[in-house]
Amino acid sequence: MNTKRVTLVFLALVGALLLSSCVGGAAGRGSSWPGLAADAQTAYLSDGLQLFAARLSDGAQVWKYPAKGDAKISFYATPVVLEDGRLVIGSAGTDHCLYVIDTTKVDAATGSPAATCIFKGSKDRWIAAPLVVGDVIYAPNNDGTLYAVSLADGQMLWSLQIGIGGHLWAAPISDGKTLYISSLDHFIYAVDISSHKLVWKTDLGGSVPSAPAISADGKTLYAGSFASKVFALDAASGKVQWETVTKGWAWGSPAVAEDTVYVGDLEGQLYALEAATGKVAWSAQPDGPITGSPLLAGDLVIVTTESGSVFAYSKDTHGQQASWPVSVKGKIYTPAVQAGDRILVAPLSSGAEFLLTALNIDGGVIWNYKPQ
Amino acid sequence: MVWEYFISLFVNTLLWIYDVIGHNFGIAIILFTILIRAITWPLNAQQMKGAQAMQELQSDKEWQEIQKKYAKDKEKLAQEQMRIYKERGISPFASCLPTLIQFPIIIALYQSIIRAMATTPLGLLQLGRSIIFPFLNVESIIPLKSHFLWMDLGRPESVTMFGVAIPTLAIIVALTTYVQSKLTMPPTSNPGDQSAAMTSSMAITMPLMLGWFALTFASGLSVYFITSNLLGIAQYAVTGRANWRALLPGGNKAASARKK
Repeated sequence: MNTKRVTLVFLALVGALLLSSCVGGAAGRGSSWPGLAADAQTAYLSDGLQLFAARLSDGAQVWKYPAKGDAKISFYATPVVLEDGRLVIGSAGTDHCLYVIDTTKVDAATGSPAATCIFKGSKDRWIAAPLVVGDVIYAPNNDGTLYAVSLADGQMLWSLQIGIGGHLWAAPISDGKTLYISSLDHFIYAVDISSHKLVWKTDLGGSVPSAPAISADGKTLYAGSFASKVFALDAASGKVQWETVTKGWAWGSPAVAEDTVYVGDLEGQLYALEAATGKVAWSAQPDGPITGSPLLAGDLVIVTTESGSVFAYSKDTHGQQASWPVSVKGKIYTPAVQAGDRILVAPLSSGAEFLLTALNIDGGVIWNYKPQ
Repeated sequence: MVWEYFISLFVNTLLWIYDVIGHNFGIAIILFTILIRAITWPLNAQQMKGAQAMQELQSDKEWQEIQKKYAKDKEKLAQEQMRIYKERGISPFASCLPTLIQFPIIIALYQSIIRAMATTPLGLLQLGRSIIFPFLNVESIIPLKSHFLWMDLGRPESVTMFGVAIPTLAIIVALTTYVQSKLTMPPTSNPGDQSAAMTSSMAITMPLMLGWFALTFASGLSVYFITSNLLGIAQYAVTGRANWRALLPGGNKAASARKK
């Protein structure tokens, strides 16, 4: 009988341990993929419990925030870099904080910059990066609300509940008058900045996890969805101008250059679509699913894949593969970022040797970064 | 890989129920629990039968005699016990099996709920890859509506009253687990009855443990616990095995005395 009791207690403990080990919402490395941004001198990487800054010239760590991981704080959103050196980023942790981090004030003792939780009025976490226009932060939250917050003092200026069920995971984009916001609830929403009212919404047949792209003239939006389609929408009315079927879910934001729209899908296909018609100009198949937005760097279209590769294709030669690919140890879901003459790639920390790799435009590795 | 397939099966079944009933994840969990209970009904019935047989054995004259006779010879005692088990067709582990099966189900259900909720981009990617039912149109289902009554099923639950966060689901889970445990306790009059002492101990530890699970983990798991407990209570009641007097203070001994 005692054996039975011991067995039950043991099973209970094992069960508790197994349950504890699979808490999806818990903050930690590897719970989602990192956010990556850069300015002229520094790369910024949000990777779960901490936000890291690495010097672009040699990959040396500049700082990390917080100095020690805090279970309540978690960062996955792409940090927004302001001209004055400050960063704006929301926490995906239980603190629900929208942080402004002053990178010019780094504490010598802790090695961390001064950070202020300027707004914590949301009901849920921040997965999406905000958009900062002038003195206003436009921040979509996982509670389905778009918050307009003063950058100066964190006061909420206005808020707008968008759609049913929310799940806003992508940063808004704007033409200066209108905010365009995509949602997992299958819709893209247009919100008038001055009146704070919804102008239109368009159903894309499936979740839209990434931000739409806007044409140079501001008249057309391009977005992919889980309906395995890429759409062109009239920015004024939201009316669908064309739609093109992709092999898999179109996860990342499209990239637009001149008359071509570039987008990848989860079946590992990269498409170059004619911006006017949606007709496939050329396509390429790197070695794995693509979740990130293609990076346009000069003549190159650079994509990262889940297989841990960085592929580059020539725009001018209609998708001819450049001398790349480069492989890193780990899966890459985050889009590559260009900073000067460097291409930055950030693999998923779980299983990766380095959190950040800087490449030159020929695909050569300049440095690798590992947090200190 | 087998475990992953098991999780995918749970996720797909949950999503299918969710889709069929009109996109209510709370109801989907309840119906899924009923399904699991229906599948494991024979096992639970076996447990009830096994537990009762073991309990009856404690007051059996021959059983008590061998306990005294071979008190100092553990090996011989074990042999004699096995003989009696064999003669009377009792499996001493029959009552353990449903408990053993419960744990992987709880863990799989928890992982399924978390995966279906897809709270991060990586989670959403994983959910998309978990689809094995070809008829499931997951594009139209995502994202799941995680709210049910006052709960967010992907997160631990509490209700704030007068500025105090009260974990109502954890309390209900602990209470229903306690009630279920007590109802299954057979009457006993033997103070040295090890089995009764253990059952009594489990009637306290299990509610506390499941209550702690409910307090710590996604409230969708609590919905499973509560539904499962209520169905368990109903199963005991329907089969006439529920010992309702055990819920009263001293009720178990009183019932035993009456039985005599």
